[in-house]
Amino acid sequence: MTHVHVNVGLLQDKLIDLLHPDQRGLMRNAQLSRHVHTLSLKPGVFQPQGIDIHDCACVLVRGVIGVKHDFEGRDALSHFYEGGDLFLTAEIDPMYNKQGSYWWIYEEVEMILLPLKSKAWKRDNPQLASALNVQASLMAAYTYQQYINNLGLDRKSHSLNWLKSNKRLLTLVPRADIANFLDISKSSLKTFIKTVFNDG
Amino acid sequence: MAKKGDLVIASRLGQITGMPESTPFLMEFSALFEGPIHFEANENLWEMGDKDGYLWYIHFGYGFDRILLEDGTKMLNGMTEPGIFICDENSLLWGGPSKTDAIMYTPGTAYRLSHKEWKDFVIKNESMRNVLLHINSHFVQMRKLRLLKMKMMDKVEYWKYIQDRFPGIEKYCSQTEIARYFGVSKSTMHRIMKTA
Repeated sequence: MTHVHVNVGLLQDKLIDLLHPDQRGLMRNAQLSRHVHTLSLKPGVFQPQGIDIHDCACVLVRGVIGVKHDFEGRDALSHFYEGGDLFLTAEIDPMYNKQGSYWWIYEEVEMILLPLKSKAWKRDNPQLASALNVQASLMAAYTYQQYINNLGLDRKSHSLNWLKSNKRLLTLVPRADIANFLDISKSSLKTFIKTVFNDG
Repeated sequence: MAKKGDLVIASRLGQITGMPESTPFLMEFSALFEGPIHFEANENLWEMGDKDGYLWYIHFGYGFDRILLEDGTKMLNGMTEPGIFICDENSLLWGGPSKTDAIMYTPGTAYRLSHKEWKDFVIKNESMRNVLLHINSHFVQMRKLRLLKMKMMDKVEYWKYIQDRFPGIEKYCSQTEIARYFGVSKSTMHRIMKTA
């Protein structure tokens, strides 16, 4: 990990959005660049060896991550993170992770991490640290809601809409993973991809 | 307010966090809840768009929160069951994208705390903040399992599992509602129920 001063604005914007409107002023004097770290990783399983990623809020500057889980010995892909997405390391932290969740990097990533519970961060920004701690906990609790909602939608129209909006991911993510993500068969995926590309 | 000495909430948080229910901040938090509040079957905990949000603790009874999907249909979302904390995400997270209501399908008993009081408590109480992620991770796990079971579990086995969790669910919820909870068509749900 190295300290950086670039792309911190991206993280700052995302954290401002996360805060309650009444709390956003707390971000005004925060010097995030003194506390954040960057991480660059090649495709493959996210390996935080030697890096303390405990209780961090992250923003992905570039690249693609898929969130995978172990369900009775089988891999399941629930969602992706792409450039600009805010997410939490709690998702894969062994302390909280009962579902064998892990991050699979599909395209080389660069991410910025803010350790929400570091002593220096809490000392310099006590009120902001408290507020972010609470909002991040809430964000964690609701992270999966949207993906549950999506499973309630008609499979065909949802899949077609998703494929139209995410053509780039088709070049990076294996078809089996996309089929699992969309909860459709590989043959249905093949048909839907044809439809999407034939429609331009 | 909860009756003095009523440690229902502290006791549940103790189970989730592994801390004794007599932990001072858990008892203090527990004492903030109103209740017990009794519900008849088919009464709502909250309606879609309610402005006054509450964190609910369900002591007895079963129900669901129902979510409005982007295609305009409603889906049974999370099961309301004994021991669960639920709330309207939209007011707690100050503008989450979901639109939900919550209904008790059976008679039940619950306790509640306004979102404002909840927020004031966790902002001021460092000990509570420190275990908040731990508590929420319990509910993240429930959501992960809901998602993964919808996708990956054998549907007949999933139906049996749901029947075990909510005994008599088919007497309270329509087959259409249950089919949407499983993310399948009504005819597929009918087949699943018959096979089980």
